[in-house]
Amino acid sequence: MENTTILKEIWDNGEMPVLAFLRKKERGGPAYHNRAADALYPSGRTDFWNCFVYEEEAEALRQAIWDSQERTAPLFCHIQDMVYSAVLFEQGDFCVCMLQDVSAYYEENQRIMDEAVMANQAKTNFLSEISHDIRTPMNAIIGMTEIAMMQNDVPRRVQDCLDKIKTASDHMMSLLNEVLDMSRIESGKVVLQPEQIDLADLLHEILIVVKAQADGAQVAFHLEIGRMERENVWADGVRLKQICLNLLSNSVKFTPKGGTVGMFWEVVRDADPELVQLYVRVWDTGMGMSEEFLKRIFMPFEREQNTTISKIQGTGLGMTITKNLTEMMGGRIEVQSRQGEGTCFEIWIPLKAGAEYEDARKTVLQGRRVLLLDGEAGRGKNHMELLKGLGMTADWARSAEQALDFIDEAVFDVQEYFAFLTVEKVEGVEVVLFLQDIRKRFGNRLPILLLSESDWTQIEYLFTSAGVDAFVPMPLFTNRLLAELYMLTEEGKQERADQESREEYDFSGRKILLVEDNEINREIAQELLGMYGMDIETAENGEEAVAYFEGTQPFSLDLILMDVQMPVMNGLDATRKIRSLARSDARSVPIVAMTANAFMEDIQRSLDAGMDGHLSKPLDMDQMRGCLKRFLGGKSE
Amino acid sequence: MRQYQETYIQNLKKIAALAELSGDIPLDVDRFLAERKKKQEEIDRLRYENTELLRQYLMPVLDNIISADEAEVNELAEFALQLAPGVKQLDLVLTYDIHNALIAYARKWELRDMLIRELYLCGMSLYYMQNFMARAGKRLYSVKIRMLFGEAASWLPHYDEIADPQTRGYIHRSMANLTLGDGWESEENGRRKIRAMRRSLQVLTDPVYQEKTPSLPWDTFIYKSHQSRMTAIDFMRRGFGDQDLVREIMESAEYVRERQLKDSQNRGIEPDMRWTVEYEAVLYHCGIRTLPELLLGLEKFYMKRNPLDYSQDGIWQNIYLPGLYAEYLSFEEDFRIKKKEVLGHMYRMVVRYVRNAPNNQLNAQLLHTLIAILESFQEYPDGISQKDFLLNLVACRNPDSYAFQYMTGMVSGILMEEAVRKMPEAFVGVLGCASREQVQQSVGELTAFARESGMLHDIGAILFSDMVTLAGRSFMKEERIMYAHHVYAGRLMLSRCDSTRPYAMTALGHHRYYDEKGGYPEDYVRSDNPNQAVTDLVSIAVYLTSYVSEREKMQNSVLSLAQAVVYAQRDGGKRFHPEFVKLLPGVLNRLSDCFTDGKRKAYQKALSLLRREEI
Repeated sequence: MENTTILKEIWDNGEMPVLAFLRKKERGGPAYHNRAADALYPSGRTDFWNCFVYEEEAEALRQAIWDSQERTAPLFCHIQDMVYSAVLFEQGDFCVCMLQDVSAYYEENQRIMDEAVMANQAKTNFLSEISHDIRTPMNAIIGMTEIAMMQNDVPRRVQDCLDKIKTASDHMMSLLNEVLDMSRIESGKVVLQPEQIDLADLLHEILIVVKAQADGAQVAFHLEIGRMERENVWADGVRLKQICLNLLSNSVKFTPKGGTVGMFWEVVRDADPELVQLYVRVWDTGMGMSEEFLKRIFMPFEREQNTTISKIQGTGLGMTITKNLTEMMGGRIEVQSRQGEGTCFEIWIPLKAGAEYEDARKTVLQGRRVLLLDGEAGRGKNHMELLKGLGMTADWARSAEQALDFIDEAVFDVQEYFAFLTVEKVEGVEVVLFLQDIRKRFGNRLPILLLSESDWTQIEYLFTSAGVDAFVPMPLFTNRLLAELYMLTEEGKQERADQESREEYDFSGRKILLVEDNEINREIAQELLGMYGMDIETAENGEEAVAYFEGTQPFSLDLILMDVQMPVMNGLDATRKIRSLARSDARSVPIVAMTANAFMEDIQRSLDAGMDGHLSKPLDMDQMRGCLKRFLGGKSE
Repeated sequence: MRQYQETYIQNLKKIAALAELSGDIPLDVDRFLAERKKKQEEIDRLRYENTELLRQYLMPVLDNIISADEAEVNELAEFALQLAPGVKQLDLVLTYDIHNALIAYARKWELRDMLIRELYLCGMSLYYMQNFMARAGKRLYSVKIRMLFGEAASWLPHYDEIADPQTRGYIHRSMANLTLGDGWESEENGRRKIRAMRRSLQVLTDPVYQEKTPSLPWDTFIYKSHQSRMTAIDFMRRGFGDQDLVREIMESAEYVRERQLKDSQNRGIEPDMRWTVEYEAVLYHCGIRTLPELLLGLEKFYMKRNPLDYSQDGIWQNIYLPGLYAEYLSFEEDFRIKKKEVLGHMYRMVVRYVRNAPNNQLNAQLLHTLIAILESFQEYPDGISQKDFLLNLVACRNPDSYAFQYMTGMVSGILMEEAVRKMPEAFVGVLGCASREQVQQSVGELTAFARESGMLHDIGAILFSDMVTLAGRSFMKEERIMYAHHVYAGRLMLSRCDSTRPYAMTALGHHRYYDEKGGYPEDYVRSDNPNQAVTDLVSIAVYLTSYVSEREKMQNSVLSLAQAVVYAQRDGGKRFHPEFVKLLPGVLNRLSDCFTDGKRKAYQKALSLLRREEI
């Protein structure tokens, strides 16, 4: 016999399934298969590719046969209850596929893998739980140390020990937080919670932290802001801050004294009009990384091995967390570094755009005069440009004395300022005391805005006591400054006060009859009702109310508010009378009692008389709103 | 004060004395009922008189408060103060209404000092009202409380313009109470509370303010603020703590402890156990003590109790402490199991302590502390169940409420027997019955379940019983709203343990109409209730018992059984299950027997439970 015939004989009768596919033919079934391969077909199936348990395995095999796709991993095929490993080789126009039964090997491997996954899961859970449990007593150690440090007359030696305990425990706490965070990410417990955030606030919060860190490490910090196409975006602010802070803290940590850490921040439009791209670059003049370590930097627990770095504390988790979070947001991160020359991280994150600038607000501020107190030349110049960009007229005082000159002149010219903007530190003056004097002199006539890089919650008490009305975080962003300044205008105040009313309680065009014998009560009720833009008619007793109602067109009155105790005719009798009139709206016009008497039986009596509800006196805004909404049904048509 | 105001307050005190039930457990139920009836008639007379006094003299003034004269307003302010002497509240809602009216007056006439005072007092009244609601797990007035205190506190920048030290004191108190109405449930609320506390303490410890108003009790303000900040452990219990909070709580805990130790040394007594326990809890939550250490500490405190002490402190140590212990056990299942014997012993001692209470079996504090223990009740398969605890030890301590529920239970049982006989298909699904046949076979269990559902349906009302028994006049709208929350309180209480959970939805839904268009609460959804048919039956039983047994006398007229049945049938399909009301004529005789001597039997049962040795 010829060799090929012998080979065919062996294949035909062999125990291993062998199939041959014609490569010229477009992805069809096998042109040849041996007897052992017959067993692959379950009853009723004729298409080889339908015999696979997993379609993705069939597709992988097809790609290997027809696309000659190279694979390094074995090709596993689940067919019926068996697992085969496919071995392919070319034979003329054919691709021969031998399927080796590896079920036992595969199952064993699977078991080992399952165990490994479970062990990894157990590790993650263990880390998560242990970190959480250790954190509680660590809180106590840190807290108690701080209390001890605050005591007077602590011996120097003890103070020294306390400082060290504080440093060590702060470090341990940050390690625990990272381990906990990582395990939470690994176990899928971290879910992003996007909300509309103001990037000005976010950046401000980042700067508060990083500036303190840089100062502590004696490293210069440089911030540069590029285009800000949108300041309001939808993002998980907490996690976004974490990403930036991880990068910045890392740079500060690995930059020696006297070095520089910088951040560039930009928001540009995306091809998708609903999105913007946040681009952040964090760079430093630090020690940099080896090429080999750069490949592993985003892997958990990886740290560069050299003598300098091993003295710097860390878990090696920070960068892994940063990468994971960036990718969870749909973004990407890249790093460039050379040993001894510093490092540069770049991130790109697509974010859903928030609201646009509000031109209407800008219009309100046009031409308004403000005074800025800022002793720092470069920053002051930027602030002036921003204010002018809002269409405002601004004077710039470099010192407190100059500010007083401007203020006096404005008073003499009877052109007082709309607002006074100041930074928190100005050379030669204690700003808090200066503001107290300003507040005493002008009362509420001159709103004061504080522009600050500090954490507002820490200085709020001090500065609000000194008379500050509002706070704007630095670096200044247009949107945020615009919003705060607008809120100082009459329009802004009105908007804030009426926001809810305008949205839900617009009753303009509605007509209401107010029946009340007491003149002052009438005035108060009119004042409250007037806010909702409705027409108000009044009557001084029940008899007048009935007469008024009779004189109106049916359905022209939307509501009657009726005092109960009145001379001539009380509210209950008046209601009965109105309900008994022979006109189409006599029974339907809503009548609401206004009385301080809220006894259940008296309320029942007013309902029995035909009233529809009850308003407690003294009337208040909330109650009135609720009543109008109930009986006038929200917005008027 | 005016004459009507003095009479009103005297009447309130008389009503409180007449409603007081403490004393020996009566042996003769008929005599007890006769005396109760006599007292109740006097209470009703006084209530009527008070209602008329307010209607005639107060309401017209409140109606036109803006034009009231100065003397009238001052008397009103004094009246409000007398209605709420210290923490004792004689008439909560009325106090609030008066302060609210006085705010309107002060605002209109720009009386700054009066406005600040009334804002503070009004905020406090509302806070006490909210405390009632907290029993049902609700905080209805948080925002309003914050607004009242917030407005008073916002006068701080004008401190120097205010000469009156008392007014300045109200500003500080308002600032300290800014978030008094908020709970620790959410992270946002908790953080807001902590910020407010921090700022208030900053001001209180600011020497500038202390120098400006040296006559104010700064020490007390600061001490109370620290006590208040210690409650932030509730926030930590929910897992929201952080480093700053730990430091602040520890600082406050140390401050309070030091002051307690100093006070007790000066007075030669032991430090207050409540604050010592609280201090231990702080140590645990801040990570200084472990859970086993805390539990051991609590056990030691418990062993120091005097089982014969029925004073306020004694009740706290003997009843409240085991409740607290159980709460901490619930933190870790492991300890819940390990300490089963200890807690079981404590519960048995609670039962014995309550049973042996001399002359004050019906003491209100005893009852309220017993209810507090239920908030953390731990059930074990072979231990005391919450259901038994409630039915045999707690509910009977308010005989009026017990009698009502007992009768409702009897009526529910009668209706269930009849319903299973005539329409078993309605109960398929209840207690796992899969078919009509199974329902018929389980008639005994279903009847017992209906009876117990009736017995427990109004258990939440026990928390609001003061509102009813101490009411010194007709209910006002706000009180009706507050009282309606008893259904939430009932659900909350019953849903905590396995033995009572099946009854929770009936406690919630028994006042809601069948067609879900009336009654309350609106958030009860009939289809969410797996035992809806049982709740429907209990609703009918509640209605009949209320109207026929004079329970609703305060707000409704009493009906004969026949009349009540006619009205119930008329409301079939609307308020009640249309098919179940058709069963009523068939059980009229049995119901009549039940109502004839049911009330007596119910009271007899309550009194006998009060006397029993074991549960």
